[in-house]
Amino acid sequence: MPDAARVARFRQIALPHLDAAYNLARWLVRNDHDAEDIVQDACVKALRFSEGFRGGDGRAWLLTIVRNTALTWLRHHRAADLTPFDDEVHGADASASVESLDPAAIALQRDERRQINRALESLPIDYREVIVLREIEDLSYREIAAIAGIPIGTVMSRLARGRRLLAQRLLQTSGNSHDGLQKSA
Amino acid sequence: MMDCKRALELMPAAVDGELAIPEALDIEQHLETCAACSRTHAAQRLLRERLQAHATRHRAPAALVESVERLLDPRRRFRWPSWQPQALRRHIPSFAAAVALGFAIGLVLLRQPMVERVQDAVVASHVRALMASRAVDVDSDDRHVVKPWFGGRLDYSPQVIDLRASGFPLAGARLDYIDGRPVAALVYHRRQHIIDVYEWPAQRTSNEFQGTRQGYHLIHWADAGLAYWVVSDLEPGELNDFARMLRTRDAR
Repeated sequence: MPDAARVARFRQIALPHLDAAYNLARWLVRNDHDAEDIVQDACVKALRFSEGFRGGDGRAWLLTIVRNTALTWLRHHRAADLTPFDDEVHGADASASVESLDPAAIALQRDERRQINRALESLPIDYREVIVLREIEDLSYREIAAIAGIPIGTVMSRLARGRRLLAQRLLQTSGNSHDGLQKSA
Repeated sequence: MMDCKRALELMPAAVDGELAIPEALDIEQHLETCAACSRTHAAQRLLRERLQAHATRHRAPAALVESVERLLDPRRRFRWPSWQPQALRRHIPSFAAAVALGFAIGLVLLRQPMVERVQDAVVASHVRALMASRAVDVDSDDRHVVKPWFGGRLDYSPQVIDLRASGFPLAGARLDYIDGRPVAALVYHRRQHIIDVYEWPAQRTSNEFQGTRQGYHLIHWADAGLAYWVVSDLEPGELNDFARMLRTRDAR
């Protein structure tokens, strides 16, 4: 494929999704500078492999490349970020699960944006990734499965675990008492 | 009739609107009759709404958009600022500095593509060998077979080091063609991973390099007149160990 055709194809399928690409990279590596480098690198790859694109959703295609680039980068530079989540260490507490949250108590919390962002940033990468793709990019289970290279069932269970952890961390940071948060049974 | 256990299992998919219609109807029916599950459902939906409303969607910064555009337009890669003559006179010192900087950048740019070309060539050769399932021309785990095999095929003698004891047995070797010359490719393996080690006479001392290209890890150094390139999909930590062992045996 000649260079010009490759560039034209990239403009058509990938360029419109640069914001989505940056958003995913930014949430995965958690700082601006590295996210820019990763997206730049991913675009170089996307340009080179644009003939490999077989139709379908350009955004999912670009996000797959961004994700792989980001994970490779993390493996080299911040392998600690990729440590699998461990219940024993992190003490996932079932009593503070989503099921036990009272809607009213959650709604009362202040400084939403900061709290939400901080809680989401603190999640282990496996959960952070699926939540960002689902809630911010609004992708379907099927698309998330394709991007992250995992089965749909795993998307669902990671979302469930991730949300539970997120709810738990939001509670911790809000400094709320447990009033109104008893386990509903 | 759906029970609470099943309802909780399906809850995330229900909240995400990912259930098939029969299951969606079942869970809806269950929620109408079960206050506890209904509360859970409401809490999860609220969490989703909070995330969607408040989690930041980072937007690509202008500098990134600009650099990607530059990537797409080769003509713009080397655009010079449009100087006015008076401005030029007024800023002779900074102009001189700019020229010096330009010269330095020029040197780097001239050097850079060559290094990258070699990296690309090494990875391409490695991938080609994997795809063609022609990993080796000489199939032997004995360095006393492999090393002499190169005699008469190359005008230099590559280092062949036995790392079997360290868990990297030799699989053989092949002749490859990189950057305009025939080169020695030694093939080691570790579990299911193939490691290619390319060796050729170094023209001059080149920088060491370590990085990733197209998902393959590359390690490069030069020693005793030979340039070494190690490439594999093996996990970087292990590949580093491997490269370190090659280098230290070399140093003997």
